[in-house]
Amino acid sequence: MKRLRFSLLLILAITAVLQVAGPLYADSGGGDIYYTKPVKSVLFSHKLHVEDLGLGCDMCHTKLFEMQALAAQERPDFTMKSLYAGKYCGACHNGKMAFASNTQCARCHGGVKEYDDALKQGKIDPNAKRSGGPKSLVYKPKDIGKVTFSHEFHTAAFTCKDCHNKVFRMKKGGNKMTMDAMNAGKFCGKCHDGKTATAVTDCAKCHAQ
Amino acid sequence: MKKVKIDFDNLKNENPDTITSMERREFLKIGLVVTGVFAGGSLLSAISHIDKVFASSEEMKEKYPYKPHYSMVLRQNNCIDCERCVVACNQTNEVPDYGYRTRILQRDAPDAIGMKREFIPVLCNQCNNPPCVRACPTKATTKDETTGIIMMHYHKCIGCKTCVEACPYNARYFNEEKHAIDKCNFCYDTRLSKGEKLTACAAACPAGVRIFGDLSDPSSEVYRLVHQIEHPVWVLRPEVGAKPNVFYMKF
Repeated sequence: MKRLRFSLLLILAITAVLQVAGPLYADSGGGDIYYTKPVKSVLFSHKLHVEDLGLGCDMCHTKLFEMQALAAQERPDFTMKSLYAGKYCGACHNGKMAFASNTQCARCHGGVKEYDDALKQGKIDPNAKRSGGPKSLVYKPKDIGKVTFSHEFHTAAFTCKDCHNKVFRMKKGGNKMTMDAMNAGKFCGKCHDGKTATAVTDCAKCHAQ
Repeated sequence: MKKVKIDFDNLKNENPDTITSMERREFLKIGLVVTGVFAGGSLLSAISHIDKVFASSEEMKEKYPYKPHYSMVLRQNNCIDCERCVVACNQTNEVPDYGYRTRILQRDAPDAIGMKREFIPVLCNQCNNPPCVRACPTKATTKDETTGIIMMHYHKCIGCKTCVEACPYNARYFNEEKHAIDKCNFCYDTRLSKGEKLTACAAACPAGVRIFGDLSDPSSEVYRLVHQIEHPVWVLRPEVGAKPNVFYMKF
């Protein structure tokens, strides 16, 4: 009887942990990115690179690619020639770390057909503002209610560069945040100083009861 | 009708042994006359015989009947379905959105390693043995004697669409505005006859997929690609016997 109760509790505990951890990883990086310039189109899958291949965010961000999705295609040097010279995707797709970017063209280039299919299936909304990153992040401090940070809300007013990487590192658990640090103007405190946005001294504003 | 009386009992033996040498000479002279007509015949009859010897890319050719012999090589490896060629063609040749002069086909190979799809541009192959020209009841479509391009004469077209059925490459469509069948003509009227060296699609391709040129010119890229043996070159549906002038390679 005791052993049964123990194993049941264990299963419950694991499930509880998974409930919290799950949503944090649900949106690994920025999802599917459909490049349409200079040619339509190339599909970059964050899932493939982050989840399946296990690459960390800082492998590409921000030295190779800005945080802002599709920012790269606005630049005039976003060409195959740049890739062959080791820029953008070419930093890894050089034949050594991954297949060379001058081979297997149709592996990344899905063309007009792939783009139109995705459009029809509702996978792309050309008008949507890309918020990037997980929609919301949940922080659970030990001694006070949890904090839910909304990426969606904040990216409506700011660009990725405003926080990443100088204010917040793009790494899970990579930001050791304390209220003291915030009061000193670090992390959330950079803007939440009472002037730009609500001061961090207003506990209930962020911490759930 | 006059009734011919046949004397069945006294029929003359007509086997080769009973033919006199004079009769044989008369018979052979007929053959000489016929050959003479062919030998001294017009360019048209020469072309009609060329298609007996003019095979697809497998055979090396010593003489090309057309000057320039317009031809296209499609280097499939580089095709990324950006469809800039389709857009350029539609703009240059006023192709309506329900029709097409060129298309990009996609072939999926889900079990392949690495790349799992390929793109294949298709267009009118300007065949040397064109089924469409054979099918047309009004000679609205003909093979040009100088360039080898299959031309359309819109005013003669009655819209019967037999050529659409006949074409093994699905290259033709009915154009409502012109009230006639339309198809790729290598931009002859819109570009080549005006001094341009390339078709609109070949000029628009950013990846070097469409190589257009004169197959009879040994210094041209199409000549070099079609006549090399390091990389295989093929044509679509060779079993149909249309002997196309558009070649494909994965190089």
